[in-house]
Amino acid sequence: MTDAAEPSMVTPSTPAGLTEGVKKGKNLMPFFIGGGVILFLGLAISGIIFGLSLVNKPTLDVKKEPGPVTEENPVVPLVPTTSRSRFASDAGVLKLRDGLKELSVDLDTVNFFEPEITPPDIDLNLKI
Amino acid sequence: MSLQLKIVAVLGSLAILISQISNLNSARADYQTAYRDYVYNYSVYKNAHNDYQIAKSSYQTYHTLTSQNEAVARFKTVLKARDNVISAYYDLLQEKLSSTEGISPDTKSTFGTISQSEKAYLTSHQKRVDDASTLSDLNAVSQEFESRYGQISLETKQAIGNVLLTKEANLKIRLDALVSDLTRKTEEIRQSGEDTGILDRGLIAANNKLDFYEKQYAAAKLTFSGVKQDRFSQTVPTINVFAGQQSLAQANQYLRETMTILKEAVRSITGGQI
Repeated sequence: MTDAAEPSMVTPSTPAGLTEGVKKGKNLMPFFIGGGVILFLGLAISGIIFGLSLVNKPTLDVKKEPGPVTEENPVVPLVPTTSRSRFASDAGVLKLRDGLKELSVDLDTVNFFEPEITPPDIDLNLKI
Repeated sequence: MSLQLKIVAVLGSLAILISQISNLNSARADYQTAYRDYVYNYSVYKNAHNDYQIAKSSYQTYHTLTSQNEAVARFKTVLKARDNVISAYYDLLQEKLSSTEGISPDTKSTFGTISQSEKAYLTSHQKRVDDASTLSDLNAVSQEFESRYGQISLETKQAIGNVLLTKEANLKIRLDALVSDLTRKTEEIRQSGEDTGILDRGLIAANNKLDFYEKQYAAAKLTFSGVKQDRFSQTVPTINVFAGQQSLAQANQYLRETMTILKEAVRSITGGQI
C-alpha cells in the first residue's frame, strides 16, 4: 500500500500566525474578545453591588466603619439676639422709652438764663 | 363699694384735679401780672433816670436856683422810682417762686417774709425821700439805699438761685425715677434668662455721669447760697449769678449725657430707634 492510497487524516487548519503565537507563548484570544468580557464582567459586578447597596441588604459581611452621627443642626436665629429682646414690647419698657423721650426734650429746652428775672440794671450812684 | 360712693370718689378726684390746675394757672397769671408791673416800673425808672441826668448836668453847668429846684425834683423822682423798681422786683420773684413747681412752701414763706420786710423799708425810704429838701439830704438818703442794696442783692439772687436750682432738681428727680425703672426692668430681664450685659454696663455708666452731675449741682448750690468765702469779712457776701448758671448748665449737660446712655440701653431691649 502506498501512502497516497490511504485517506489522509483531516486536521483542522489553524492560522499560521496562531500557531506561531502558541509557539511563542502569547495570548491566543483576540484582543476584542478578552477586553469585552472583562468590561462586561466589571459592569455586571458593579451593577450587582449598586443594586445591593440600594436595597441596603449587604450580602457580604463587611464591617462598616461607624458613620458620622447625624443630628439636626441647631436653629440659628436670623436676627441677632442683641437686636430685640422678648421684652421689646413690654409695657414697662415702652413706658420707660416714652419717659426718656419726654425728659430728653425738657432737658434740651430748660433755660438757666431767664432774662425776665435778671436783676435790674439800676444806678447805685445817684448823687448830685 | 356702692355706686353712689364711687360717683362721690370720682367727683372728689375731679374737683382736686381742677383745683390744682386752677391754682397753677392762677400762679402763672399772677406771675404775668407781676412781670408787667415790673416792666412798667422799670421803664418809669429809666425815664426818670434820663430826666435826672439832664437836670444834674444843667445844675452843674448853671448853678441857678431854677436848675437846683429842677435837680431836687428830678432827684426825688428817680430815687422813688428806683425804690419802686426794687419793690416790683420782689413781687416778681415772689410770683416766680410760686409758679415754679417743686419750690418748697418754706422757701416761698421765707422769701415772702423777707419781701415784706424789704418793701416796708422801701416805703419808709420813699417817705425819707419826700421829707428831704436839699441835694445834700437827698445824697444822704440815696446813700442809705445803696448801703442797703448789698442785702437786697443777696436776697434776690438767692431767690433766683432757688428757682434755677429747683428747675434742675426737678429734671434730676424725673431722671432718677427712670434709672430706677430701668434697674428694676434689668433685674426682671436677667431673671428671665436673657443677657443683660449692655443694660448693666449702661446703668454703671449712667451712675458715673450722675456723680459728676452731683458735683456741678453742689457747686451751683454753694454759689447761690451766698455763703461768705471769708467768714471774718464784715461785708455782705455777693452772689455771682452767672457762675451759678454756668455750673447748672454743666450739671444739665451731665444729665443729657446720662439720657444718651439710658436711651442706648433701652434701645438694646427694643432693638429699634428711640
